[in-house]
Amino acid sequence: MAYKVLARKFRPQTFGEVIGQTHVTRTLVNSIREGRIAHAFLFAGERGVGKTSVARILAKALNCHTGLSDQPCGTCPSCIEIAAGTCIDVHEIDGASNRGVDDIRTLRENVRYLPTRDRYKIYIIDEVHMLTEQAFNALLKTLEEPPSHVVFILATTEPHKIPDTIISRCLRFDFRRIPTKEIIAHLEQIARQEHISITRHGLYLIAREAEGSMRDAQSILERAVSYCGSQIEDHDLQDMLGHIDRRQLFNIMEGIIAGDPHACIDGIARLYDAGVDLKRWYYAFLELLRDIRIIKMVPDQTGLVEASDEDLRQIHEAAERISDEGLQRCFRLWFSAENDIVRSANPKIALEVCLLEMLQVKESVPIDELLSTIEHLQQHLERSSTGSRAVPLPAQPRPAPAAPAPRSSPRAEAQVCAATPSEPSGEELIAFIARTDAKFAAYLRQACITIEDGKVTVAFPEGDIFLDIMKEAQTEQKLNDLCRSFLQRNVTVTVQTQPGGEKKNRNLTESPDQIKRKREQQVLHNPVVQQVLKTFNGKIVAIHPADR
Amino acid sequence: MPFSEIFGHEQAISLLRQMIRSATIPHAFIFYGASGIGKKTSAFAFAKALNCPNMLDDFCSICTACCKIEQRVHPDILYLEPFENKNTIGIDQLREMQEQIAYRPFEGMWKVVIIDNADRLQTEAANSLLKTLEEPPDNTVIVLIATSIAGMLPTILSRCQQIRFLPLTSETIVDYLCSRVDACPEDATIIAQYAHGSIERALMLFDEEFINQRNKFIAMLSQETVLQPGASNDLIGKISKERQEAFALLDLLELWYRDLLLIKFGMGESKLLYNRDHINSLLKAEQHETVAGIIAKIRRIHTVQNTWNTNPDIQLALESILLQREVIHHAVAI
Repeated sequence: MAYKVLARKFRPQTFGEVIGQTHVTRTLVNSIREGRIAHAFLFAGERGVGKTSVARILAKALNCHTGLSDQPCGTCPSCIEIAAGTCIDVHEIDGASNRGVDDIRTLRENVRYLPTRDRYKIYIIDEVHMLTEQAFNALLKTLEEPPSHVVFILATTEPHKIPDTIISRCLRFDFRRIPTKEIIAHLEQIARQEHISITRHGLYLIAREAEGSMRDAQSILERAVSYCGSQIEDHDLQDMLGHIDRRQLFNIMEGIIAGDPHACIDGIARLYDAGVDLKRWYYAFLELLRDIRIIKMVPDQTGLVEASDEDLRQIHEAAERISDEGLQRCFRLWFSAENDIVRSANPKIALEVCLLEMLQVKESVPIDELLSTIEHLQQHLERSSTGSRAVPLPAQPRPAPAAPAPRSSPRAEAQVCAATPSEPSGEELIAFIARTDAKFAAYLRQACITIEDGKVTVAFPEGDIFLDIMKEAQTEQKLNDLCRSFLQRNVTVTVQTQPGGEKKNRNLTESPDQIKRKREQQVLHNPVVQQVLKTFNGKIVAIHPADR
Repeated sequence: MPFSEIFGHEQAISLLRQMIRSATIPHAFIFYGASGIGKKTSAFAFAKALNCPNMLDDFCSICTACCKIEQRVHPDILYLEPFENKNTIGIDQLREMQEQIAYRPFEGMWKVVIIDNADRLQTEAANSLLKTLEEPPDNTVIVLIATSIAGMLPTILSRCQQIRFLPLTSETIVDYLCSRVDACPEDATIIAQYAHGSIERALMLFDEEFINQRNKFIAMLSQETVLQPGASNDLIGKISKERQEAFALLDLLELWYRDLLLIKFGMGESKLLYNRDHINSLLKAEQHETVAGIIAKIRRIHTVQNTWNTNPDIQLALESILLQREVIHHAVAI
């Protein structure tokens, strides 16, 4: 007998032998035991998970000469013929080759006749997704109510291509991808029977490569046997599978981190000479970048990264040595090169260019650093501007018609108070506090702050609500701490009522009209309002007192 | 021409021979790898080895079977390729093949079906192959040939033994050129660099007096003076008449700029420069370029290369690269 590949040799012949599809086989076995046989089945699932095999076993079960049985004998003429594909009552149709409406018409005509020898006339239509639309529609009536002696089994890898009207007439079974563990167990059994010696790790490599398809796993094992003989060593297997050498990956990553173009280009040249599939390598490197990113974001979350301990250590090391920003840009560059690399007939140059581009990333300044530089500059600018503005400020002619000086605006006061050139201004203190506690800073904006030889005076207008808040022991302590960390030395902080408390008394003697005008002036000269006016190029139409 | 006369692919061939020796021949293969590296040659060699009565795991090249296969008249060897005016293999061709393989081999021991350009099978055709590919009649071997398995149906791949053909090494190509077409070693070395491991490409470049062209082109690229827009038109006009030539030219450009980039990164001494023999021109040209400009140009070249199959206007494509070069020159001058 001619040589058969493992996938054909080890095709399951009973429901019990089918691996990883218990949810299908159990249902089928039970329905056979109960004698409740549907007239149409649809088997859907990935390649090589057992659709055609189960269809044939089902055909055997239905037609076995020992009677309707969930354990076909495998020895009666019917079983043997079905296994060999020569049974006259089981029609295995290649749906992809016989896909036209004419093929279905022929089928419809034949369906009417009784089975020649066996109980059922069984039509297995494999690759049914390739039938034309007309063919599907021609099948509908037959599929809904076939003669009682007919069973249809449709099998496909692409159920989404099948019209709903067909699906609704069939009993649908979705085949799952086979778990790696079960593939390993089965391969182990094959290896034992075929006298192949292979390590468990080798089996794992094969099973992982197969991605849940038993036939893929068997094909790879077959190739491994041709490649290495019956002694399959792990390193031969890795060679054969074109396994990416992790060391090379890390070497090139190292080159990028160290900014060494030689390491990158030489590395690629070595890969090329060794005949490594550069497209696969591209994806392996992408995965490495992804792993580093994940480790960088969540250092202890190792469950998300599948790697050996040694690899993990190297990933951690790389994560520590590359900046967040750089890594992100590297990842983006690498990812965006996918099209160029995967579509190219010769991806070597595209890889090289991309790696060199990543080296450039290294030279660019990370955004964090850039931001802090800007902030620093801004502070510097502010400091010098408040210093210089303090002098000409009183000289600036104010077009305000009414007499009261802008002093009455607390913010303006804060600026004026802080005009000691040697000491940082109150504004700066507030800006410093705003970085950690914006609310607290907002309170202080209402106050006049003076800083003089280690003494910080915070003065609020009398009766100000914030004065009371500031006087609380807890807040006072906080203010103390903040001032100390701002000035970097010991300070005494006093919170007090603003001198010139007679303001209130004077207010009492003023007429309501005067008070109103004064308030309007206050608002007009409020720096926030002025800023708003300036930014939006606006003008004041009316001023209303806020509803309390 | 026994197996030993095939250049390269030692691993793949020893695998095939091992299978014949141990009589464990899978019914379906897919040979994949870059074009023009010897996949088809190997497939026919495999067919000969299967059918040659004189040798077990090799072939003699002189028996009737071997000669018939060589002449493509052996009744048991079916060779399918896209029809001349078509790009893909249609379902009808496959149906015909399926009818034919239903019969036992007429003369030889094995029926061998070789399907070229299998990565360009139409969807219908590919699907119609599935059942045959899974369980062909006894003593039938189906060999699919593809440049890349990336776009193929996973259902097809899972039914085949995948055998990867690596690009040939430069040494192998130099060896081939020197022994088969009497190239001088210096030329052969240069051509080998541009052949990307493909004998087919190497032969094409050799026929075209590629070396002369390359020198001319490099002279143009390394011109010190700023190119006036249109100055390269003559050259483009001359070159772009031949698609194949133009494609080779793209390669030239690609590798030229790649070398410039390497020099920019301080690798002028590296042995990996493709245009090492023109290092002075490279160093001269390097001064006019910026890293970003070079990268942009290489990208542009890749885009054109990758859309080559969509049949772009050659003149436009080349101009878009070369003129961009000029524009950048001007920008720098301003």
